[in-house]
Formats: sequence, structure tokens, C-alpha cells
Amino acid sequence: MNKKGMIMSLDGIIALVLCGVVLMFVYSSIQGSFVDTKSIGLHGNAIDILSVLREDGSFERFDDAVIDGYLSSLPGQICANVTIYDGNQIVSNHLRPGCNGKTQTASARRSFLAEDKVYMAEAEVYYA
Amino acid sequence: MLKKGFLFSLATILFLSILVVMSLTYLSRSKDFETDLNKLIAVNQIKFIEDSVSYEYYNKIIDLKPGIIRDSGVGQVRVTFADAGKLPSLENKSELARIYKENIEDEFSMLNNINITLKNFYPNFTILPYNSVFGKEGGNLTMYNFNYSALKKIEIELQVDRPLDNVDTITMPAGSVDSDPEIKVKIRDKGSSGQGKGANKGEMILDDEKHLNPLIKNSYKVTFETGGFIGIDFGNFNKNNGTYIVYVDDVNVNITSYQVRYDYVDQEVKAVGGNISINKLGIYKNTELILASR
Repeated sequence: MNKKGMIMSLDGIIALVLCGVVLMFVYSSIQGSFVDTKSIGLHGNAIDILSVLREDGSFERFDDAVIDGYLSSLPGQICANVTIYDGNQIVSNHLRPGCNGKTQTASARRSFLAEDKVYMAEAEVYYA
Repeated sequence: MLKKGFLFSLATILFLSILVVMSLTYLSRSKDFETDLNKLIAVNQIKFIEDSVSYEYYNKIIDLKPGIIRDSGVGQVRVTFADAGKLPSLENKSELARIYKENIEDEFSMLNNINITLKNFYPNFTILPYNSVFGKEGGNLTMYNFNYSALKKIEIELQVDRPLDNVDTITMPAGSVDSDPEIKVKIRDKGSSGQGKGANKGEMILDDEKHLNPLIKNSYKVTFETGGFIGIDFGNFNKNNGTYIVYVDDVNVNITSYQVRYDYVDQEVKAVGGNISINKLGIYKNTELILASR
């Protein structure tokens, strides 16, 4: 009887462990299948920012006031940081006022010619 | 009792198996969705880069912008340059194109984890299918016609920053047969600042229109008493037949009108300024930088 009970207990434990393993696998599969759908919207915003600032010539003129003004006019939910580089050197950095805590970000870059040199503008965007 | 236990175990195994299959399917679909999403971002990025390069090329590298390409209505195709600009032009356009190409292919490609190649990226463009190469740099406006048999007419009107009474000599070429391309040249002086009709248009220094042989050297030249000149060559120059060159020295010239006519062709006519290839995440795009088209 004792032997039979022990086998039954062992059988039950193995079944529970197997169930646990399967449930853990299912749980981790669901967790791992998280798709970051926000990044597409953020990336689109980063491209829009660079396109608008390109069209009004703010990058070529290095017009800090216009860039800051445009970033401030973005919808309240959007935070943006625009940086202009000359090689590895930062020429100017523009962070939307009130934004500092980066969470999930997306960025876009654009090379442009100004004053017979090549510069690069980078827009980094995240939700406030 | 044993039968009940067996059924219970079977039901549990079936339930767990269904759960595993469903989670695997869900995982696989999520991965596919994520891949599609990343490809969509890559497509947007490729489109944006292509647009940025075209913008820099059209607005900052070429100094002669092809405007309208359309049928002229007399069995010809007309290319009009609405804003042909001035001569002399900037000297450093080739260098600017070189440093931009170098930056895009190296630093920019690396930072964006993308492979970009720019081919034939120079400050000139080609009108296809006529194979005419246009460029403007320094004191020269050039047009090489590698298929000059399709060339019908070149018209140019220039305004020079000198008065008519400063003209020293005017040289003009002899005409040829009607089957050769027609070359029309108008050169005006700087004009007055008065209010009269056509005051700013300038007095006519040279007004000529004739057919010229593309296989020999034909030259117009206007020299000025205080130095400087304007020259217009057509024919065999720089080792190519049908070559058209406008050049200036020590004078400033405004190109007020410039148009070229070709034989009509029943296919797309376009101004192509080079080629861009972009490759990211297996998405490959290879496209011409089209500046204008009919």
C-alpha cells in the first residue's frame, strides 16, 4: 500500500511539474511575443520633424530659434530632441522644453549640405 | 476508477497540447508581424533617404535645373530651363558632390545600419534617350550631345553686366545647311535702370540664328574694351561632335532664357542625375535620380 501510494504521489508530482513546465512555456511565449507597434508611429514623427525643418531651411541656416519654436509646437504627447552634428562634433542640440525622461525612442537622420560642408541632423522622438 | 483516471490524463494532455500549439502559433504570428513592422520602418527610412539625397542634389549640387520637358507640337521635344541662373557659377560643385557622396556612403550608411551607394553622382545630368549631358560649373555652361543627330535647336539669351558701348569685337560663325542643328543666340547689355518699356531687358549686342555644322568648330565671341568676354561654341569641341559650350571670363552673365529641342521620340524623356542604391533588411531599392520628365 505504501509503495502504491508513493508511486501515485510521484506520478502526481511529475504530472504537476509537466503542467507547470508547459504553462511556463506558454506564459513566456506570450510575454516574448510582445510587438513594439509604437515604434512605427514614432519613426514617422521623427521623419516628419526632419522634413519640416528641411523645407523651411532651418538646418541650413542653423536657425536655433525656429527649430526650438517648431519643437515646442509639436503635440503635447510627443517629445523630441534634434541634434545637428559636424562629424563627431555637436553643432547644436534642441530638446523640447519639459521633456527629459526617455522611454521608448525612435530616430531618423538626414545628411545635408551647408556652407560647403556636410552636416547631419538627428531627430530622436519619444512619448511624453 | 482506472478508466476515469486514464480519461482525465488524456484530457489534460490534450488540453496542454492545444495550449502549446496555440502559443506556438501566436508566437510565430507575432514574430511575422514584428518582421513586417521592421520592414515597414525600413521602407519608410529608405524612402526618406532617397528623398533627402534627391533634395540635396537638386537644390544644392546641380546649378542648372531642368524645368519643363514637353512636346513642342512640331514633331519635336522641348527642354526648357526656367531658372538657368548665372555665369560664372560656383567653382566647387564637383567637390561638393564628392564630399556628400563620401559622407552618405560611409558615415551616414554606418550610423543608419544601411547600405547606400551613389553612382554617377556629379553636378551634371543627362537627358535620356537623347544622351545629352548638361553641366554648369565655374565660367562654363556645357552640353555634350553624344547623339547629336536628334538635336534640332538650341536657343539661349544672355544679359551681360556691361553696356553696349563697351563692346570691342563681335565674332560670328558661318552658317551651314538646313539639316544641321539650329543655334539661336541673343546677347543683351546690362540695360538701364530707367522706367521705360524694356529698360531692364537691355540693348541687343548680338542677335543671330543659323544652322551650324556639328562636326566642325563654330564660335561666337563678344569681347569688351575694359576686358572680359563671352563665348559660345558649337561643334567639335573637347573631342566631341555636337558639343555646345557657353563660357565667360571677367564678366557676369545672367542666362535669361535657355531651351533645347530634339526630334520627337515615342518614349519617356527624362533628365537623370545619377543613381542611388539602398539596401536594408533585405529590402533593396535601386533608382535613378530623376530631375524632370515628360
